[in-house]
Amino acid sequence: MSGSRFEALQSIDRRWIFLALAVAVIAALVVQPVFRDSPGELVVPIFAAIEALAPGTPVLISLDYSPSSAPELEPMAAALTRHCLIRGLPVTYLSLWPTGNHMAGRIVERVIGPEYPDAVEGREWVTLGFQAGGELLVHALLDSLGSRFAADVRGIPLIEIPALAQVTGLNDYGIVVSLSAGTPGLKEWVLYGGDVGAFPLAGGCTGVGAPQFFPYYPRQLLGLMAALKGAAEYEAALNDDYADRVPRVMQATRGMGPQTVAHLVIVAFILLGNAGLFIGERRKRGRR
Amino acid sequence: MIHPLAVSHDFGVWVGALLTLMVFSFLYRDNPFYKFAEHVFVGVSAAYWMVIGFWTTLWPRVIVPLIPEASRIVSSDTPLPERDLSAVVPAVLGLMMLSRLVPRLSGLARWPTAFVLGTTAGYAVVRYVRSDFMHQIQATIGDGVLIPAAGGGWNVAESLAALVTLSGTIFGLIYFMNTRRGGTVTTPAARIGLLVLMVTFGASFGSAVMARISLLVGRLQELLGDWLGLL
Amino acid sequence: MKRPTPQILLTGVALILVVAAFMAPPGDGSSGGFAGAVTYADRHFSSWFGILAVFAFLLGGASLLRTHGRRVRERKADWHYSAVTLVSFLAVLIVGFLKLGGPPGLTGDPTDASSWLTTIFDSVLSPLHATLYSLLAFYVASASYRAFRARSLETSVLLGAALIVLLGRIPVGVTLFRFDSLSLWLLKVPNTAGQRALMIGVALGVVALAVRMVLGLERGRGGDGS
Repeated sequence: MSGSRFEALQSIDRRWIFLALAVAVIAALVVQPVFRDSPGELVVPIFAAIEALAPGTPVLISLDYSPSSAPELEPMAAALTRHCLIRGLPVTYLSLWPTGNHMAGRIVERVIGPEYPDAVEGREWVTLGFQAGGELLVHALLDSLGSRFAADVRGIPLIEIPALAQVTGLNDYGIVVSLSAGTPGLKEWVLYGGDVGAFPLAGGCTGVGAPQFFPYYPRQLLGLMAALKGAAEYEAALNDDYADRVPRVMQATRGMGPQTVAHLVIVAFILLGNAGLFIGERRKRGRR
Repeated sequence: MIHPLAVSHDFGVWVGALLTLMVFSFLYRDNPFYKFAEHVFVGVSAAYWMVIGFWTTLWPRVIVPLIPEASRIVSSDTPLPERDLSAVVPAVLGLMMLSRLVPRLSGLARWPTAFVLGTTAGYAVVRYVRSDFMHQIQATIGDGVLIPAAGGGWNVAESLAALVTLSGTIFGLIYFMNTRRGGTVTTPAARIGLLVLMVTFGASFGSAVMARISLLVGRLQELLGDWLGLL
Repeated sequence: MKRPTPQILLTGVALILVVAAFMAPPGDGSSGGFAGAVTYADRHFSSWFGILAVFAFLLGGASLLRTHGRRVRERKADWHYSAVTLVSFLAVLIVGFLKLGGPPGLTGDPTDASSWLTTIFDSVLSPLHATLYSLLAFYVASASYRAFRARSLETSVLLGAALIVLLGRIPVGVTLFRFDSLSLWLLKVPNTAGQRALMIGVALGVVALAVRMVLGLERGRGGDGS
């Protein structure tokens, strides 16, 4: 191989990389390889905490994301919803992001409607939706949900909603989980909610945000679902304990196949670039 | 094979799919289709935020408290809420914020800006000191570096992890203190700190790659599944 | 006498809220006197902050309308695209403010599954949002290939950490190389150390910036009202 070929290995046109990635992901989506995961160290505490709640204990899920991060976070919201509905824990959805009402609507349409047709809005779940204020919304809700939400998204006053019968403020929730794609999100829930209040706080986050939340675990965060893998691990925990009540292959587990193939393509390109660099430099040294 | 009957018959799905393809066309190069989709996105997003902000926050927390009769427009059967004049303050500050649009009055916008900055500063100081400073120091040194094992003796793996966390945090901080403008590292301890930060940034990059791939997988899943009915 | 400046408002609000953090924790029913005033301020300031955030949305929308309106009026380069933005903007505004579609008229929820706003969200906003971000997958792949070269000790460490995380978070890496425990250790231990150093630094920075703003030393960011 001539020196220029090694240089060529280091300067492949980006469009070839784009094409390789697209082909790999599409092929994996069509073939649909399924890799079973197992619940990891950071996900088990969240699953266990929800398992330990007495039926009827309210759970809050804060959908702090938009469609751009939904592929990572929506499977977490779906898995948590399934778990809560199976266990008889009324779920409250709210959001620090303006897209939150629609993200909650998607969970209702894609998970609750088809899989739990007997579940009733207001009894099994309630959507409070979005309110502006970000971290200061969390601060206000500590004391009282009513200070910011007069009614749910349908306009039903909070006092008439059975799912909120036991709830005044955040401290009345058995667990609060923020599914966060950025700011405001999980960090604000830790700073303005979990570290001040008396409720267990857990989180789910995108891969981009995951490394910054590790310092909060386990003292300030009960557990963390990090990226699609975190969601797949939660799905695995559900499959282990409730195989007959949840779909066999859920969204995140299905996504892990193409994800794996794409990672391998990227690793291959990284190794290719470094091989070119390594061999090229050795040749240069040899010539000297 | 794409089966003609499996392809979506939903107009909305087709609109979404075509907009998706327009955006993906940017991968080849910038073109009018991409620009069209991008400009639709800007317009729709801005209006969406305004609408949601108005109905979820402004309506119930400013307009109805100030003009309770307004609640009759959206609900005819609920009792009129009591008038709450404290909503005058954010309403006035909000209008002052909008004065930016009128060059002659734009100076008024300094007041709501000052309020927002004061509120942010006032709340953030205590929370950051507590959660990101004191709690972090406590978590780093709280249990010491010699972690006892359940059956007696020391848990070597846990102790090593605690030691690496403690020393890594200290070296990382030294790096920030012993680095000149331009990134020149001045001490060996700072060099170790730089290596710790490199692990952090490497892990962050690896994790970010994973995130971006997930978004692509999710998007293609919807395109191939909902639109073409392939999945 | 000197005219009051926005700096007084900034300083006053910030100091009251710092006091509130120590005096009136949420849930404290204290009322009357200084404590009551501080509690009142704490509750209302956070609410007003949220309301001002919505005014910022309105300001952004109005500013967009003005900028693109001018481009169309003056037939500037690419004004057609500005027209696209304006039409999309106004269409969603009308649909949203009038709550078209879905439950009866203005009494309904604008985000109800059957509203037109939801249709626009599902068919236009959601696909565009998701696709624009998913484009980054391609660029991040290309950037990984170009930037991750082991040219020095530091870049080798960076590359090694990224590879371990990339392989440790997928089933193949777990099965073939047992990278999962290594990846988790890397995230839990050295990554946590580095992140903590960053967090502590940022926390101190936030405090320093806040103090400078409160004292009026931070010019040009609204602190002095400019």
